[in-house]
Amino acid sequence: MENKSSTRTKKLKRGLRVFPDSSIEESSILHLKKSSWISDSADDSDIQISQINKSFQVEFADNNKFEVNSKNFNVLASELKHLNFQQQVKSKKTEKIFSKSFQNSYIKGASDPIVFDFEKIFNELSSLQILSSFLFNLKYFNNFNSLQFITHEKGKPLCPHYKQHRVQGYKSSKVSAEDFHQAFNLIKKSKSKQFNPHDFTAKNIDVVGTFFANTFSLKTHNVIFICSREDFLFPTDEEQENFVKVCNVLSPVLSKLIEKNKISNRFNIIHEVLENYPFPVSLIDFEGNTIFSNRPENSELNLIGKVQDEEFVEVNLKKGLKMVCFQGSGKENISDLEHFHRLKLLGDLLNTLGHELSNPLFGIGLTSEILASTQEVDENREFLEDIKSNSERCQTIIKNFSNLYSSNDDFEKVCLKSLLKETITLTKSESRGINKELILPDDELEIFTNSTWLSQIIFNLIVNSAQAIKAGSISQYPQIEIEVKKKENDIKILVVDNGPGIAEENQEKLFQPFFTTKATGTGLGLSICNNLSNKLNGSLSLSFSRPGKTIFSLIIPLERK
Amino acid sequence: MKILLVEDEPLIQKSLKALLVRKGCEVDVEASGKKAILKIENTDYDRIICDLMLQDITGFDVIEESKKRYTIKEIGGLFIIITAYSSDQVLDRASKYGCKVLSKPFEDLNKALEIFISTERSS
Repeated sequence: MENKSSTRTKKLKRGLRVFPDSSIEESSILHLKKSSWISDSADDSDIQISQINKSFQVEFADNNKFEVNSKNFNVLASELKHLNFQQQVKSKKTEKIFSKSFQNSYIKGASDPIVFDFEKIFNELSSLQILSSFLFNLKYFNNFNSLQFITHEKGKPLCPHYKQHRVQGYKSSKVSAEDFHQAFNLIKKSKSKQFNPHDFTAKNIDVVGTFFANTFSLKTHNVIFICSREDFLFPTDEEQENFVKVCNVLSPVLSKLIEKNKISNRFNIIHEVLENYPFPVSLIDFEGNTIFSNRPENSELNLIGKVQDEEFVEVNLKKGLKMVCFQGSGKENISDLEHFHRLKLLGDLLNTLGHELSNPLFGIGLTSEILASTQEVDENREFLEDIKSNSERCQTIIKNFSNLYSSNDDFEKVCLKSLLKETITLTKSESRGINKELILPDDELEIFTNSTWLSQIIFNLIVNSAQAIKAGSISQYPQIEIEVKKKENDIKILVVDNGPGIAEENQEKLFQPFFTTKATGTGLGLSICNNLSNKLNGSLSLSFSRPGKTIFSLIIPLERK
Repeated sequence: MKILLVEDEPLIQKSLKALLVRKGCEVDVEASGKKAILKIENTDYDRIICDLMLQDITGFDVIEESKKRYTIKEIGGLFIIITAYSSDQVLDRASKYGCKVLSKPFEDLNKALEIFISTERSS
């Protein structure tokens, strides 16, 4: 029985020469060689199978490797099947694999009527392609050289069509529903089940010579099964009987296969969704091994150990599986949005304020100038000139603030001293009573940056320091120092306060969105500042903190990188 | 020189008028754009100093209406626009009329006054 098919077996699509290593028994090797696994003229070495402890290691010529342990020999079987080998794995148990003949293991009893070992079939045949391979190896199909399946899911306009040729291999295409129905009805009515290609409108049912066809009406699908000798000889009566016999038992197999196909399609779709999910997601089994990750190369996703981190969310699934998704990106977006809204609001407000105030201020300036020119008493004239200069000062302040908060993404050259001075002035209401000192290496120092963003960061740091001092001041002389240090290509701006400091356990979470120790804080300030510092091509960090001294350090490039 | 000052901010109206009168000009003031148009139609002015943001209409609307009486060339020499909102768009549009634009607040008051009373017709 084993050899019957092998004599008719033409050259396999993939030759299979097996190199079992010394740990595998001699007798097993002999059986393996005799079995229909190996083609007669295998010159190419495609597979190396070795046994290591209780598992089998299979290595292919293209260096694909996988390991199968003895419990899961079926996995090996499926994998090999998927590679379009025409012969199949013999048995689940490793000792038996090399000894039992293939065909018999699927059929209970050696003669009519055929009884399929369905359980085995259902477990091991996972597609129509494999079914075709399987059928080719049945003695009943010895003379047939091509098999075709056309399946129609009720209601769909197109029907998948699978053709397997013993030598030429596997081909798939589509048939329209109309053509399918024409063929289906024709075949159904026929008694002989024997046909000519010309009988059918479907073009892709191309066979040489006559062929047998049968129909199956399943729950959700209709199937047409075609097989042919692919020659011009007339099929024998025996062949017809064989065909009918197999068809009689094929129905449940087809049902199961179609069901499996549907599931595997869904699986493929879901798999693709997960692979392409824009944020990192992983599946972890109960032992903590990562069995799926859509960012395998990303080291951030070494989730084991990071699961407690707020940025990740755990979802418990069935069978001890855990899904871990990264939420961080979502929160980052919130920070950005918040910031953008804040800035825009502030910018619009300042703009309007500026314009509304500029008119009366201008009026004050003009009027006092007029009055000043009429004064003969020096002192009075001076007073009026003071009024005028102060109103001009107001206008300058408004103009500068408006510039600071313009929704501008541009980088420009700015005088660091002026920018920092203006920013410090802005903080006056929050930092009343706290001494603020600005230390610069050079008054004329200019830097190429975005003044809005830079001002925002420093403003936020100063206000944070001020609020901390107010909440728990230690010193009698509360002080905030803004010190600028010049490195080669960078500027370092330090905001130092002598407040109560930041608790160690909070230091790591400082820049996380929504983290705050204040009752009325949003927790977004520092995360926004962090984003801004990145936009400036710089970095923001907490350099030092203990009760009495806290230093935040912002490093930004002098020139545009 | 007969000047029409179209400005709705009272303090600026009052002080600019005073300054121009000191320079020897005859100054009419108007806070409303619509009323200013009427004045322009019925009176010959040597200069019209017009704010852009008025309560009822804009300075540009006033200029458009004056086209009934004056040519584009005349408008260029007649009108001077003063505004707190000197954006590119404003400057662009003003240049189409050929008028000068002065930003409020004036950087140099005396210079501004000189421009107001200058008799040169070029823009």
